[in-house]
Amino acid sequence: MKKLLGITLGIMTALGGFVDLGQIVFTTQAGALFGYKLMWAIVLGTAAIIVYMEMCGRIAVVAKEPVFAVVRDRLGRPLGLAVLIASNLLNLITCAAELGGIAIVLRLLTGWPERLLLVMAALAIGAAVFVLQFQWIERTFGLSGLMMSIFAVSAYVLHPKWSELARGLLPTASQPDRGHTLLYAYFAVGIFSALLMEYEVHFYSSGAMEEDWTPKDLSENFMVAAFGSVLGAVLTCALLVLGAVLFLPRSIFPDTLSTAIMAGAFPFGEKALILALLGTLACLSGAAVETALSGGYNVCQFLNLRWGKNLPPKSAPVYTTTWIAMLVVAALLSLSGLRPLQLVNISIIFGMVVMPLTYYPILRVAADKGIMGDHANRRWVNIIAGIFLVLITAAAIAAIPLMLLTHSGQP
Amino acid sequence: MMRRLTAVLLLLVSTGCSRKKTLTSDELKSQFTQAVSFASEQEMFVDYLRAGRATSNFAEQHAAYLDAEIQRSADELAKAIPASGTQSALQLCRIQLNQLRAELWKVRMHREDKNALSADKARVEEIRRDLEQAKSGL
Repeated sequence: MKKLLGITLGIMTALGGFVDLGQIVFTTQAGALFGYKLMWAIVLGTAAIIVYMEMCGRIAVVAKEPVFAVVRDRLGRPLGLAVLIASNLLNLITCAAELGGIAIVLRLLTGWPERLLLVMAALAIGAAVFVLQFQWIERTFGLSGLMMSIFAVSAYVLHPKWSELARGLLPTASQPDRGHTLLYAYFAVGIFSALLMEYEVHFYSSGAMEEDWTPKDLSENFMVAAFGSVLGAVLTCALLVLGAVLFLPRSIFPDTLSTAIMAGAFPFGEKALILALLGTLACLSGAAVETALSGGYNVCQFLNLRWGKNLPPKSAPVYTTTWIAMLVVAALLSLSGLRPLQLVNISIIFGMVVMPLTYYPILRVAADKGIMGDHANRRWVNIIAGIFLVLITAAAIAAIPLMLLTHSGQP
Repeated sequence: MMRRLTAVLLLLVSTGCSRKKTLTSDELKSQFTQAVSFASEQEMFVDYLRAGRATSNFAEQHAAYLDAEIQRSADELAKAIPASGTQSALQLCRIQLNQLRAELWKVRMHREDKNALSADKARVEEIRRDLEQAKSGL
């Protein structure tokens, strides 16, 4: 039972990382524009995050080093500090977007004013994180996120074209014109980036240390990383299918969260709609918690201060203050009237730019026999992770030009 | 001194925000694509309501979000200067977006009335066809 519950770290990490506000709308839009043609980006991103998540878990167990200590040591203090600032800004923007998304879902459920709901949601999430131990945070948000499965059921019931879906596993080179080619590249980079958001590995490696994993748990590490990520990928594929089946034939470009949620329960009645709303609420809340806590983890790990959700707040004052501040500032940012989807577009694309600086040090340490001993990467793992790093770097270089050329993905 | 500076800053910001932008033919096409998408989405929403699958809160609030998106698009067009030869198309797009908003308001009123919803959908379909026709002529 303990092992089974251990998987919830992977589930929460992946659901909060994969199926957050950005991914829900972004992937549905990709399906609405290109049908199944971007399925390969989901598979590629999932494989990459499994490889790197597993490495982060292994480093946390063997070297007793969380991700940000690795970044600081490998990149040096000045560049490490720049990565810290960029990562925490992204966490802040993402957290603000998720809180905005939560307020939208709550408004769809209750009809109450969005601003009031946003404040209530931020307070409720803050209180829950403050009171709960780390294990219960991951269990609560991870398991409740499973309600999102209704999206996968809906996608299946709507009879996707399986042969086209299979063809989508390979990239399509030809598009009707230059504009479509750029849009295709933009959505490919966006999906890839959204699956690999930095806060996932920060949260996962810190979670492994919060749970006191030992080398005996290393066999489970891969299973936890893979199971959670595959589950998140299935839901992401379902979003793409819903876009392809429901929106593409009708020439709809879904621009609101409520449209994507309606798609998630489209073939069914009111109860399914409520389930889709609750599932979305759980995933967005999970993402808000992950980003706020990651802010605290990053700062303390970089400055070598005490951190941990399971420590009394007085024993880890900087950590506690930082995650609370992240939540408060994110709520204020969201209350300022910035649209959640605008915020999330920024975080996805700029997140891609910072990504190589997060993943490169992880690969270096995981491959280092001096630090990892017998648990260092095997040769084939280095090759695969190296290929993914090249792809991440290429996507990072292309991200901003593509955003500018496509006006943030407008068809 | 400080007041003057603030006033100048506010003036700069307000003129910057309200500056009219010339809409190229491609950008206008993109606006039409978006307007067609809004109309189609509205039709889909009406079908969803007619099937009785939405809770009353969801129906009301989703309609409000759709309305806000259409309004945002109409406001953008209101601020835009048409490129030569596209004045009438831009005007038509604006009018149809406002029509869509009016129809959406009716949909909100008729959410429990399946017959009225059918009539609403027919009118939205007409708007969509007009938009598609105008877009193909660009």
